[in-house]
Amino acid sequence: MKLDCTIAMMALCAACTARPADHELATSIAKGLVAACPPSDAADEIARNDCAGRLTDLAVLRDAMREPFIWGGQAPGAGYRLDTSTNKFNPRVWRRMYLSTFMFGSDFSIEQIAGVTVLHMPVTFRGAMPIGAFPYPFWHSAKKWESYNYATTIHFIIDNGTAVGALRSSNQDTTRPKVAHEWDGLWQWEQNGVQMPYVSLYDYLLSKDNPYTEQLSDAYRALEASMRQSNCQACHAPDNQGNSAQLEFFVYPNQALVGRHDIITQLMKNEMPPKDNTLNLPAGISNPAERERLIDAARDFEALGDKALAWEGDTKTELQPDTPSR
Amino acid sequence: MIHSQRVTWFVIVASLSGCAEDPAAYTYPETPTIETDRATVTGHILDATGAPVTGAAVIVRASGEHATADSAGAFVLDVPANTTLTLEATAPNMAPTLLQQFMVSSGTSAAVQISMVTSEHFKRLVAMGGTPSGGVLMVALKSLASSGSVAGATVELTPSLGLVMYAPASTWMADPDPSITAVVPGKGAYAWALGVQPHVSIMQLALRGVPQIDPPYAVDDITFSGTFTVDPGALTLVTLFAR
Repeated sequence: MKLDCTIAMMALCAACTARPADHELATSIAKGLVAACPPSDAADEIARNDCAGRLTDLAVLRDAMREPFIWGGQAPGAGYRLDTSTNKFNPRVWRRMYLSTFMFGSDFSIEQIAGVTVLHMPVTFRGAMPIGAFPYPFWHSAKKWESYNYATTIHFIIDNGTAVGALRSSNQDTTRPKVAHEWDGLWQWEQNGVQMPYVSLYDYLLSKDNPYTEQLSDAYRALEASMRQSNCQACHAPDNQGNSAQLEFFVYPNQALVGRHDIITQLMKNEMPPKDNTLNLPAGISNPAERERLIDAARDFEALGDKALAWEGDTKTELQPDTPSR
Repeated sequence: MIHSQRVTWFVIVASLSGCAEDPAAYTYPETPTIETDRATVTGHILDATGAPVTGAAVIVRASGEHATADSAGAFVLDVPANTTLTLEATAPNMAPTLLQQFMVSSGTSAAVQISMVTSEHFKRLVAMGGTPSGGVLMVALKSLASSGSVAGATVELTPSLGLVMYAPASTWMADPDPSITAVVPGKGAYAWALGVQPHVSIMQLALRGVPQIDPPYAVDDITFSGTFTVDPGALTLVTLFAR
């Protein structure tokens, strides 16, 4: 009896907290996605680039997204949890590089689930593009590659006017085509003089005439080289060797932008690498001069990242993750 | 229409056509132009004794070009030029072997050598590394000066996620000896790195104690990036150059 009452109360509360404004926001986002990235050939990079440009400028989504934006694969039976097996992204980076790898169908739906609004967007993955067009070699893991290729839906989680994250559906259509790739073990490579994946570079993320592109790239390269000396990339890479619940990538220029503030905090506290890490690396950075160099490089990167994004009119105040666990 | 009216209309039309331009077009990303030049890689696949590994398969990872070693262990591959290549050699009873991260100039031919060890030998090396999932690196050390020597040098692995060991250079591909603390004199100097963490984004090796040439190394028409990642279960071949 007591349990029944509790369930009834919860249902009532959920109904009470339904937010018509979030429903309206979800509808606007859905319509914007359909218009920005209609179905096309899965190998068509020009269509993808057009989609990426439109998503970058899609004001209704841009203005609603939280930084960091959380993205990952939905675990079967885990609902819409964002706090495990997910990555953090700068919103512009995610819209331009990741979201643009999908095409959207118009048959979307919106649900109110335990106090948040979930937009279910039907998607088709652009899985036949050349390998440098993907944010990183998703095929390093068969499970990851299938998660992108076969996902039928992207679930957007909207909470009180803010799009906090999105998940590739655990529901998969395995009859969809999937291009077979063999990973050669490299996260980055060069192809006829072009650094790959080309979409991970600031040239792809920023406008052609952004005056900060080159300086930001130099600052990233300097930071990346310093981080390598301190073993940081061993964990901050797509295969998540440190088993982080929410990972920030530092092995790619664009993806590293989301961590530009947090890295300074972590270095100041000297809490990276964390204690008891899976690679048995010593906790913290023991050499003060090395840590100072890293902090200086991180500050340069942060300042130029802020300037480059501000020039694009695409800045957000970073929020402390207050990730719903649903 | 008098002249001043024509000018006015021209200005208005020009202004409107400017307005009609897609204002966001310049923010749209573009795919870089990627040439499709080709190059050739020739090489030999040899075992630890220097004997040819006849019938070994060699494949360009990522792009898939492949060939089979002939009775002399020789092979020829047509490959994408100026592109990061990793060659993988496989043969029965031998450990898969990777020649990693090099590029060949357009229209040229580069010669490489791939040294393989038996699966049993590889297991011994993995056991010495102390990490079952760790990779094994064999680091060939070369001096570009005819009178140069790398004897006494040490090798530093960054990130330091593996054990560097040295071996008697008199026996090519002999097991490392933990009691040896630096590269020993000899024509075919080399070092081992064992128990190396697989798939770390960018790993590098540096020579200490001798004047190293900073990577990337451009030797004839072949460029080695100086960086690598390792696969668990495979032998990875890397070359370092000293002056």
